[in-house]
Amino acid sequence: MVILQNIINGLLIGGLYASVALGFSLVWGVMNVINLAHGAFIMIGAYVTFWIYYFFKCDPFVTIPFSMAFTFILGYLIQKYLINLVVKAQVFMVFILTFGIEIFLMNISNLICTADFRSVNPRYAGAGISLGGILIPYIRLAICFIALFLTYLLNLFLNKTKTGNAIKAASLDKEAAQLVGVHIGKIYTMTFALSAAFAGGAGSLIAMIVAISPYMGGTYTFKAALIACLGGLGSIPGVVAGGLVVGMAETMGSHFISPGYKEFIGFVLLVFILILRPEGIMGKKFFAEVKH
Amino acid sequence: MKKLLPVLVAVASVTFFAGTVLAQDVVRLGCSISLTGKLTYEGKATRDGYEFYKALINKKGGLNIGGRKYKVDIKYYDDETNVQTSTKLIEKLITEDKIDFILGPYGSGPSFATSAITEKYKKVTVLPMAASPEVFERGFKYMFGMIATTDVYLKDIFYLAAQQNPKPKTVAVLWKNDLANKGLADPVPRFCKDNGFDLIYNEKFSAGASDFSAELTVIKSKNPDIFAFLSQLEQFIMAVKQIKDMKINGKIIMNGIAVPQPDLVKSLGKDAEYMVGPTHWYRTFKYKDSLFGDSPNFVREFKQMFNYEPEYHSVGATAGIQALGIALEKAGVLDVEKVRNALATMNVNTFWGPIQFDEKGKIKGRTMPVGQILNGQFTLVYPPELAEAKLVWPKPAW
Amino acid sequence: MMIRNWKWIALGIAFVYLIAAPFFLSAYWVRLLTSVFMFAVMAESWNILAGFCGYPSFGNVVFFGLGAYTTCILMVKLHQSFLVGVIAGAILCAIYAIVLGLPILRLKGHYFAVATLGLSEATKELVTNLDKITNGSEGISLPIIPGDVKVIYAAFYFGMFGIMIVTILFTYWMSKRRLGYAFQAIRADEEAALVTGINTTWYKTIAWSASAFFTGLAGGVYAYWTAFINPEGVFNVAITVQMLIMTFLGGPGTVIGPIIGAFIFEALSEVVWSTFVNIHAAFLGVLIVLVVIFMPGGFMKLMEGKLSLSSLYAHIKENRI
Repeated sequence: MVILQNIINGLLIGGLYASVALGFSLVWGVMNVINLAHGAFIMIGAYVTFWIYYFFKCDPFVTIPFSMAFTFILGYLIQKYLINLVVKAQVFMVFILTFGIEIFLMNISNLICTADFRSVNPRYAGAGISLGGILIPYIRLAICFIALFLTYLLNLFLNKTKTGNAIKAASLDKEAAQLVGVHIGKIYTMTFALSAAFAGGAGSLIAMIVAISPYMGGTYTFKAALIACLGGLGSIPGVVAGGLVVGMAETMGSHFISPGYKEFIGFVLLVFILILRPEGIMGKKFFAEVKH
Repeated sequence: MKKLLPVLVAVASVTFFAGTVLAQDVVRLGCSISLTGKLTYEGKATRDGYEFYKALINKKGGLNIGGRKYKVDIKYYDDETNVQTSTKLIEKLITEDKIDFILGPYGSGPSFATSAITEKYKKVTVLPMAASPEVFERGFKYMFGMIATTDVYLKDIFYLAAQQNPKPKTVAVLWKNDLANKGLADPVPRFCKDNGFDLIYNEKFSAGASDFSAELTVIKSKNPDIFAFLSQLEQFIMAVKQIKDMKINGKIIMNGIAVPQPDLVKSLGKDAEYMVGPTHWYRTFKYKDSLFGDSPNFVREFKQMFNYEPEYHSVGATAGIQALGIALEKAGVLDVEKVRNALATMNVNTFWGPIQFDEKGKIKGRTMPVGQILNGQFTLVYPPELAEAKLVWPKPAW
Repeated sequence: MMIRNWKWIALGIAFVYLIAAPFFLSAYWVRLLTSVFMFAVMAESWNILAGFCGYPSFGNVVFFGLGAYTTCILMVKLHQSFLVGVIAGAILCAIYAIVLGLPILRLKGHYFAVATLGLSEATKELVTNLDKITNGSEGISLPIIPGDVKVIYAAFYFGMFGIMIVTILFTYWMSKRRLGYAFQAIRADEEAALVTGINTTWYKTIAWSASAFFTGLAGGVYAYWTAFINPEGVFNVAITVQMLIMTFLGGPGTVIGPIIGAFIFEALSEVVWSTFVNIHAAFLGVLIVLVVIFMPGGFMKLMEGKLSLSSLYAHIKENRI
């Protein structure tokens, strides 16, 4: 009974984790960029949801398109005017650049919003479905579904639209893509903007279950890295797999071993899976190799 | 680096001239505090506490040291919630800024590191928010704490619970694995034994965790009468939401640090109702002194200056800097040894209560009154002589 | 020719200055420089595996933490001397790298990076949980060393300086021998290296354990220097990030680059802190962004070319999309 509840818990949180890792995996797989500012976009999305909820008292789920639009624009500008300037340089220079951006975003948020903890508390918080003793809170269920829906949307975009296909092409082989007429600069801008948008969306979802503060983003960047690697960089279905695996591993680990060993279990799992399948669960070979 | 020497000379001469130009006597205090990073909220509250004292004392003309009036000035550095940075900055305050009196940061971890440096240089430091008993076990002579330590935080809550009718039987505790909360959780088995409770769940979670659904599910299945979730404010907010999701109906739900903080009610609204926690200070304390009056007056003036109601982080900080101020006046001279001795032998009453330190630097005689969130307000329920209301027992179901 | 001499002369002057520094700089600056040396050690050792072999480890701070903890545990719980503690810590780190290198060094590029990050976080958690040995989240306090503060600080200054010199010399020595060439072969094309008969597993493991050893030394000295360690402080990802920034600001893959980068970064941070108390963090972020945009090849690259506005602009042009 308890184990069943915990399996459900693991799946629910796994869906959320998938949305957290979405944009991160995309940017890493396509542009070879480790975006340390990913957590900052999540944080910004969370704040957008909070402020709209605070001023207009509307349902927090309604705010998701707005937070995604806001972070989309932010990501677009950052990529176009900052990151694109150094993309051709060493991988780590871009990494450091995103680090600088992250510090800036976090601390500007601190100055604007202050570090007081905020929380989104709609009327139906705490209510849920009760199926024979198993509790499924409405909010968690909705979050899981929307997270998976966002993932589905992104996958659709990548596979069915021209821009999406261009993004996939750029990730496989930059030069070849250019040869067939893909404008790399524009594609990178679009990719990063999308990544930021989905991070913002994840942030909106997270806002409903955690306490929002300017420095909340860092943990999620780390998780995103873990899940993206586990699932296979650049693969959207892989992100879902990775998210669910990590969610389940944490919950089951806490249940069977100890709550204090969550990171440990996540890591052991990661190494284990990567040894068996070095490209991640659903990653493809030759994707995202570090070229010197 | 090669240009360092001339720069230092330039800076030295500028400060020398500046010093002679300013006719006002100033006593300079230093502080390394979290103005950014994870503990920004608590760091800012602590700083506001220091600033409140500074404003009031300077309005009166300053401290009266050896017959002259000295204005109080505080130099702050942001340690970014990073202990490494904090030690570097304390060093800077002492050796570069030549400050002899240090005001402590928020939190036991930074207090640990900070006091190691100040002890090395033999500079007086007041640690208002150092709650960990280990901080005081190092034989240091130059540091003074202002609050009770974590090993007694929860004692009276367990005692209070044991008085209820029908007496509760089972206890579950889930605690964050960091210095402060480990200190809170360690004595719990002893409290359970002392009060005849059965400790049926005792687990710690990683400091960075935000999802407790797995642990809460297990706890719910054990249906404890008493549930203690030990963490700082941020994670307690998340935990309460998840406790509500899971419908854990403990007869009493407690936290050791966050309950008196106004942001708890602000973030959770009705969901914070009936949470129980200890506090170092309460707005109805009737202790008085000549600077702040009594606690209700303190609250009024603080609110006027900062636009929010203070909670014990700020108030404790004020109490600390006030103790230092009193010691400075008592010593009559800006000499570290004399001020240190003034603190060590201090026996005064301030709005914070009686101030007397033992040979380890711990403040004597502080207890932790217990409060419960009732009608959106943190309300004292124990001890009886301070209580404003009775403990609502059992906590109504979600 | 002239340019090369100029660089050596500057280096010589800097060296002499650094040796003399503790005698005339205040304790704060001595502490600052000691910290710079510490980061330089970590950057240099990171470079052995990442710059030479092409395996970018994001989790090298795990060795820093292990070195620190081993030193503290041996000193406090087993009453060993500091020297014993530090050396034991470094050796433990090297062994840790060898044992964990077997599974982890099989991974490539990004996956390796994230796996090492996971290693660092997992070790942190392990250390926090094994509180019977490590005091867990309470941390370990070392006794304060009695004596004149200036003398003690100078001792740590020279200690860290010495470790830095040893690390540099080791890297230089290694780069000129078969070891270094094997590393670079692995970086250039690991499969080709295998084909030419290089035992890549063996060499990668050596690289990582050397990297671990020196980082562990730095961690051990750090522990005694600060007199208090806790898991969050010594297994901190921020240390890795800072170390990476220093390496890349200075010029990766070179021997001197990381050290120059360490100085630049510390100097920048110091200036920003003292000047802007309230907005320093945001300002530092902006500064880092600007530095990366204008110096995408690192400081050493900048030094190689001419220092002019047009070359600056050319740098940007060649790196942007």
